[in-house]
Amino acid sequence: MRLQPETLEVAVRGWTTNPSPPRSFRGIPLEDVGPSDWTLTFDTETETDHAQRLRYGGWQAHRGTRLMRHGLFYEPDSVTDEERDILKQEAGEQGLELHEVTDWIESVFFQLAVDLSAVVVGHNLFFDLTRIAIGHDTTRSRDPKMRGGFSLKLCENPTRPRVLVKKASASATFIQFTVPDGRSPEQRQQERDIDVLPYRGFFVDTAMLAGALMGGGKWSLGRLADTLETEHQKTTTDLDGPITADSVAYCLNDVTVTWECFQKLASRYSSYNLDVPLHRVISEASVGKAHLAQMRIRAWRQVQPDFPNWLIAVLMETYYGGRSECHIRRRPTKGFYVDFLSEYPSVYCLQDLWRYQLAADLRWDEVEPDEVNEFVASIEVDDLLQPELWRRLDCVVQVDPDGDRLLTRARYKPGSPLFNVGIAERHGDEAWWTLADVIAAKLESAHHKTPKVIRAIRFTPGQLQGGLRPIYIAGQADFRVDPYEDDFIQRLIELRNRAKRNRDQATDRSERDLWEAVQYGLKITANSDAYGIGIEINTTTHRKPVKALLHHTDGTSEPITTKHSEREGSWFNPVIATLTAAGGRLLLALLIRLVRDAGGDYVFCDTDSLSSPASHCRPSKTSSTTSMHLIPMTRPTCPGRSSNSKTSTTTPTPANPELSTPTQSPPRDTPSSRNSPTTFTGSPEKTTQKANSSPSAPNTV
Amino acid sequence: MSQSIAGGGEFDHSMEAAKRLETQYRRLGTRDPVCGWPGCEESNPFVLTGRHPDLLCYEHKLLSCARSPYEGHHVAGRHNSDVMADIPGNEHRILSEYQAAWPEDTLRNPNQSPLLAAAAAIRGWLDVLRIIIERSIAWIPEFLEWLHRELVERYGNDWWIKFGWGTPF
Repeated sequence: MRLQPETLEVAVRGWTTNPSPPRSFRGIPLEDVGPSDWTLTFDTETETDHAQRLRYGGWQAHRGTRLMRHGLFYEPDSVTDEERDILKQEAGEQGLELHEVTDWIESVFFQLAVDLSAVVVGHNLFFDLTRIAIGHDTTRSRDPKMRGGFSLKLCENPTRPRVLVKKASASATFIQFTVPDGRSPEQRQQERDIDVLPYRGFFVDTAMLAGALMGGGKWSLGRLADTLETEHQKTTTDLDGPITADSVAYCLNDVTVTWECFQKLASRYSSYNLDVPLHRVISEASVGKAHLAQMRIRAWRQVQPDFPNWLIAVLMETYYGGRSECHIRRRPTKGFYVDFLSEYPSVYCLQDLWRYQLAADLRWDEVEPDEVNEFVASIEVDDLLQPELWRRLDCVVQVDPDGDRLLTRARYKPGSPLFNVGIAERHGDEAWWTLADVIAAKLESAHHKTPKVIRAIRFTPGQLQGGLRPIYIAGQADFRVDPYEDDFIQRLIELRNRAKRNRDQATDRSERDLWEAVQYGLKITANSDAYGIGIEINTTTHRKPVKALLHHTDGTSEPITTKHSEREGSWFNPVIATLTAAGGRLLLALLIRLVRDAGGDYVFCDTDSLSSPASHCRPSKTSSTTSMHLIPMTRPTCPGRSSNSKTSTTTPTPANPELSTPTQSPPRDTPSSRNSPTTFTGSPEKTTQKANSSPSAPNTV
Repeated sequence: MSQSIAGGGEFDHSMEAAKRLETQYRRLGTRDPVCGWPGCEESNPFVLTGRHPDLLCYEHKLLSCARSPYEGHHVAGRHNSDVMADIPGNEHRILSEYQAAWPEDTLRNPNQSPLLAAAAAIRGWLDVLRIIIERSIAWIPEFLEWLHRELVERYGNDWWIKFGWGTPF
């Protein structure tokens, strides 16, 4: 029975520019002078009810590695007289300073953190800062990255700054000072015509830093201290009861452990020999970007700011995330699970996208559509098992769809605010996809039907940037990367494999944990550099609609107003991002095809993995051997879901196929790029696209 | 009310000076400032002007404006005595920074106390001696230590014997 086509609203990702980008500080890019050699480490203990009010805390001030001051502070309203006596007694016996929290904030916190440019260190610093705050508000910062966060008031003194905190992701937080009221030193300098950056402070969250350097999201203090083998280890105590000598010792020990973890992490980061200062490292992507900057690679938007907007609009239209799909639903099915090792880095290397990272400019040429159609028609499964073919995929194509199985972002459920991405049999207006997606459509169509390409644009990297210099990945002497000679991403994966070998050969648990952390961190860094940072789009939510310019793929543009403006990240490169993501989807489509050709099927797939019904598999020569043959760096492995960085993907893996439903961020009043009524034959397969975690605006129609 | 049971004395004493130094670094835009005048290696942050990387020491800034690099310095502070000494502009800035660390009453001497004026005069001349020592001969120990290391590297641990100098001590 042939199903009738259905008309649906289709949306594509758009490209907007801000007609009046924020000025840099007087047009001069200024760098802060960095922190002094002072460090303030503190930790708070709170009540254990839902309000979690501050009770007391411990702190240490170091200059270099020398402990200069240390002490306790407490919230008078949260401690009894007896408890205060215990605090006094402990402070007296151990030579500690004892302050009420308001006094501590003025005489210790601000003196160190503001006046002396100390680094403020804490484990889950966000939480501790909110505990010592006396009030909060939503941010009104002009800094787009702080919009939507909290502004914490720490004292009544108007000349002291507030603290802005904003969660950038589950594991990363931006923290900075505001410019306080009154005539600040910066203003005085500006009046004398000297440019001075407003002082924003230096904050390091050891939980966040550990995640950035060793992967694995946020680390608990105990696990971190154990892994880093710090001199002091986290202890346990009962925090429910009144303050005792034991609980004070517990708190002070936590401060010491936090300080020691900070020291170890700082030492580890220092061995990387990267120019980016420690307090700027908030995620694995930060480390990846720092490596690129260390090679003196200039970001694509810097070297080629005049790249045509219509072409970026084309590239953005072709961009979709990883494919996550539940194929067998509502039926308990045992599956045989395989996944690709380092899928995104693999397709990055296969397509030799490192050339694009180094290019001084990206060039594009129109290609005869017939030539592309012949190429696609000629491709068979075996061709895709040859690495050479993958270097010919750097192409985006405009397709006149005629029932082809192509990625389509549409409002599949009438009346729903959600636009989901599915693989649908597409009819209707022409649109842009990557060449890899068109080949995937052919692989997966019932009769290997080739979509009709009516226009094609091929990209080539221009001359390489000059002045690049070699680096040592993570400071490892035998992992030198010469950007002109080596593929950085490939070297990252090689280093990761070595870390995994070391992990497997480790004799004790802490050494094994350390190498596990290293290999995981390298994995995330490789994924970030190969894919994530190239598609970093930061959204700013405005209180009032702002003007923006929406660019169409036909070269026209139109002014729009929106409350959610977008700005690309510093390493934005849509060519790399869309080709990497599409390469990953093609790899998955190839695997599906191989499984089906072998008479099997799949239960679900997710970005770089697939589960085939166990009843269809013999363990597991066919798929294993094929994938190993496919790409030297890929082979089925145990599950190890790639975690996310600021710019990587976030949608959870559908562990239970029955529960899996398509999800996508709800559309907002962001620019629409296209209005194309489109028809479908049959119902599209339920496919979930992993949305970019940096809030990007789906494009409504 | 707060209670300081221990510590803090040494810290508080140096706090103001450390804060002023920190302000200077932020004003200059670098923690490694150095004068950009060819051949000048002035790196005292209180002496330098401008914004990194366009830094000039005070004397070279005066010279670039065709002004004299010498200035009159109130040795005991302008509130205590009219006695002035002509000193190079860079040293004047450092001495003024030293004065900023004096006790407020001594520096301002609002009631013209002769004892405070005398204290200021002594402080002023001590500062002058200090700057003479710091900026004229303070470099010599480090230089001698460096020279010793170089000679040891080239001629061995008993280089002075090889030079025919005998045992000096």
